[in-house]
Order: sequence, then C-alpha cells, then structure tokens
Amino acid sequence: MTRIDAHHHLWSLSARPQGWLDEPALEPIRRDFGPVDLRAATERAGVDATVLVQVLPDVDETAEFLAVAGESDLIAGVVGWVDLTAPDVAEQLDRLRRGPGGDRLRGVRHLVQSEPDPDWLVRPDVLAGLRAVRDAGLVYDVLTRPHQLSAALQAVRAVPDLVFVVDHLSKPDIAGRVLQPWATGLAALAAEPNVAAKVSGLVTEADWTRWTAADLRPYVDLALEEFGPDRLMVGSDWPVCLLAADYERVFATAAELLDGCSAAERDQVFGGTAARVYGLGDR
Amino acid sequence: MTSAAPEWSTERVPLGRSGVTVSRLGLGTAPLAGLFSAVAEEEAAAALEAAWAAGIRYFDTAPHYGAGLAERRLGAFLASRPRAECTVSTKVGRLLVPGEAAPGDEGFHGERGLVRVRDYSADGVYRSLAESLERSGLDSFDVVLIHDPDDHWEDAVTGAYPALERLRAEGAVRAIGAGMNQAAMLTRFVAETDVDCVLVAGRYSLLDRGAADELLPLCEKRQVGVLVGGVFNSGILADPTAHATYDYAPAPDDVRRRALALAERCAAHGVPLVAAALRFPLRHPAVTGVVVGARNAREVADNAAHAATGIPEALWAELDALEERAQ
Repeated sequence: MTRIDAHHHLWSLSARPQGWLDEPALEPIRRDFGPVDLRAATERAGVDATVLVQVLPDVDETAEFLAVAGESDLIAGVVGWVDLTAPDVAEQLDRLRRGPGGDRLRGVRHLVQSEPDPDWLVRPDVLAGLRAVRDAGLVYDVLTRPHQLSAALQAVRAVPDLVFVVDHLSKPDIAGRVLQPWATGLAALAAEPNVAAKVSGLVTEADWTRWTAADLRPYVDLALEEFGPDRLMVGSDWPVCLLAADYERVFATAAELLDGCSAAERDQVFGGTAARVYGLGDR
Repeated sequence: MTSAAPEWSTERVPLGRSGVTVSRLGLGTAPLAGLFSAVAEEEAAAALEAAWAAGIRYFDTAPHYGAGLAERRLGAFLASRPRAECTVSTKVGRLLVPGEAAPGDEGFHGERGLVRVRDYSADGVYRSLAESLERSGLDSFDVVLIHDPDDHWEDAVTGAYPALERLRAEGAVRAIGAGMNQAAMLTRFVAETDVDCVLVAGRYSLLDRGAADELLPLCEKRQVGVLVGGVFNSGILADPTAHATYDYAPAPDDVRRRALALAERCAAHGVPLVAAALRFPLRHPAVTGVVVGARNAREVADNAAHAATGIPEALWAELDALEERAQ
C-alpha cells in the first residue's frame, strides 16, 4: 500500500521572500527546505508519494511547484493557488496546466484563515471562483479556523459537486484543550458528502514543546467518528511541523492515534483516501 | 620546447555529459578543514579568497573533511560570491553525529563535537545531503559523489547510487559520481552505473599511474568526467623531504627514493617537482581537471604559480621513462 503524505510544503528564501517567517517563533524553520530535505524526511517515514501545497498567494510559486513535481517521482500532486476572486480563474488554471508539470495540478487553496472577512468563502466572486475550480475537475483545499467553519459549510453546500478538503481539521485549539464550537462545526461539514479532511498540522496547534499523542486524541477521534477513514488522510504539514515534531514523529503519532482502526482503515488514512480524492493513480 | 598554456587552470571545461562545468584547477577543501593539523578560521578564509582571486571556480568538499568544518567554511565564503559563477561538489557516505572527537580523529583537527558514521543507504544519502546544505548554507550542490565506499560496494550501488540518480532526475543535483582513493571500484561504477564523473585521488599521479590501466580509458570511452585529486599523493610530491607523507601516512623509503629521483629530473629542467605533479594528470585526454588542496593563501598562490609553470616535453619523456623502470 502506497503511503502518501497528503500535505507538505517547500520554500526557498532566496527564490521568493517568505514574510510570514519573520515572526520570531518561526525562527527554527526560517531556512530553505528543498527537494533534498523532503527526500531526507520522507525516506525514513516510508512515505512514497506526497502532495505539495501552496505557501504563498502567488501563481508563480504554483507554476514553480508544478515544475518541481513534474521532475519528481515523489511529489505526486500539487495544490496550488490562483486568485479565486478574479473573473479569469479558468484561464489561470489553464495556464498552470499548460506549463511544465501542469498535469500534477490537483487542487487549489487559499489562506482563508488570514482573511479578515469571516464570510470570505461565500462572497459571490469567491463562489464563482470555486465553481471554476470544480469545472476544471480540481479539488479545493479549505484552510479555515474554527470561527470560519460556518462559512465553509455554506460554501460546501453552495458548490455541492466540488470536493472540499478541510486542511488541518480546521485548526482546533489543542493547546487550550478547546473542543467547541470547533467540534460542532466540523461535524456539520462532515455531514456533507463532498467533504474530506486532513489529519495534519495538529502538532503545531498543540503545545509545541510539551504535547503528547493524548493531547491530539480527542480531536482525531472526533474526526474519525464524523468523517470515517474513507474521508480522512494523513499529512505532515512539514516543514511547519518541525516547530513541534520531526517528520517521523508526526507519522508515528498518527499511527498511534489510529490504533483503534483496522489495517484496511489505516491504509485509507495513510494513502487510500488521498490517492482517491486527489486522483493520484496507482503509484 | 615548452608546453605553455598560461590560461589552462582557469579554463571552464564540461564535466562529462552532465552540463556542469569546472575550472580545470579546482580547490580541495580537506586541508583547510584541519587535515593533519589545525587551520585557523582566518587562514582558511584567506585561502578561499586567494583561490577565488586566482580564478578557481570549482570547489570540492565533503562532510568527512574536518567533520563538517570544510563545508561550513566553504559555505560561509561562498555566501558572499555569485553562486552561479562556481561549481561545488560534496560527498555522501558519512553521516556526522554528536560525539566526542579527539584532535586528529580520522586525520582531521576539525569540529570537536561530531563523529563520522558510515551510511551508504538511500536514507543516509538524503540525510547527509540535507545536512550538508544546512551546514554550508548553500541552496544546492552541483555535484554529489559517493565517498570512499571501498568496503560498501553493495550498499553503495543499491542504496546511495539510486538515491543520487533520483535527485539528479528531479534536478536537485546536476551531476553524480563517486570519489575514492582507488581506481578499481571507480571503474566498476563507470562500467555498471550511469555516473557523470569520478574523482580519483592518488591513483593518477607522477608516483602512481594506476588509473591509466582501465579507469581512464573507460571514462574516455563513456564520456564520464574525471577529476583527479591527491596529485601530490598527500604531500610527498609537493615536498619529498624527510617528513613526507604518501597517501596520508609517512612515506616508505622506496617511495621517497622514487620521488627524489623525479625531483632530480625536474630540477635538471628548472621545473619544481610540485609543478610537474600538479600538471601531470592533465596530459591524459580523459582527465577533466585537477583538484588541489591548500591550507592557506600562500599555498593557493604557490599552486596557481606552479600551474602557470611551463613544462618541457623532454621532461615528461624523462619522467615517463623513470616510472616505466620503476614498474
């Protein structure tokens, strides 16, 4: 069974500035992470395919990610960025697909979490953009925080034939041990058939230095309950995860948290779901 | 008659079919990372400055050299230079892990808190290279060589080599190969894999022409680049006096006698032995470039000056005859 990391990033500080890394707490990951670093991380964890996810709201970054993926037998898919509020989303996607590695484009993401408007996802221009993503046969990765889950639900219902993937389980406050209203919001999303979710990015929502698997368990248990293994996929969120855990520990922790699942169910979360949702084929 | 080619050392030449070019004279960074004895930070920096000033644009390093010290020093220096103007090679096969290193550990007076662990697995290659990138601060290495797999052939061809091939395929490195002190296993690499280049140390010099038997002809045939290191056999051909080292150990008497005989022939033509030794490998058409180490700016300047020394054809003939008799 192919083991897939459904969510990671790469960046080169010299290639394009990463202003978000200026935050003092992010100093440990304020360096380049390239294909060699990715190989070093994935090899030990037994990961044989990955999904590379956009970092910056910049189509040039996406074009570059596609080119990198096109040369790689490890990076199987790319979730890129286009300006969803623009009238030419279809053309933007088309241009990306015609460029080098364009056939690796599998989805689109926008950093909704940073939008001041809590209803950004249901703006008419954004919904039109999401329909263009659907028409292109792509997936939409939704990166929200708990307070944005209701807008996410509206968007999911407004574009029912677009597959939404909830990144990082919508970032619950694990360090604060807060469950509500996150749990209700996530459960409502899970009730919609066109939604899957990523068990990723959780270690950095927990206490970076003192977290244990037990801290994550209530959140993962709820996700398992609501989505089921067929709609969940493990992602590392590497290199961001390095703030709280190395790559191997992220995967080892995921395995530990899935100890109640059957082998077949674990295979889904560790690869099957990602392969199906992102159309990564039989690699 | 003098075979003068004053510009040869800074000339950029293609390394096999890889698309990478190197200056014919490259700088080896083992000495400036404390090979045999410690080298101060400023001395090392001055050596790198001098190399750049002399037009050297190919730098070879490895985690092994000073347990990371060479990569750190080279990277710090190149941070202030246009990276695209030069070619850098490093190596894989030894991981550096925390540990207490005695001065002189594995020949180096380098970083004290790290020791070497051999690892020729794919995982080891990726980790080693990721750590080399971090240590040096460089965003890529142009060339990556499998380092000293003498007792690890099986791991090297089933682990390290396929890993490097993948990195080359995805553009993370531009050329791959192996670097060793022996010719026989390098010949196997060239025959059995798709390496772009080899770095052969000590086996194609005035004192040891072993690489000419099989390795160099095969490389020429397969258009595999050849970098020659150890042109002084770790010291003796630079200075064949009493304390000379041959292949990293005190030189045996018979080797010293041969070196002194070579020096005598050179002196008769007014050529320093070291100049002939530095130039010798490039007489073979398979050889792309020579990699010569230096501990300080003066040694770099000396090497550059020796590179510019014209060598009479008659001297080559005499040196060839001497070595034929020695075989």
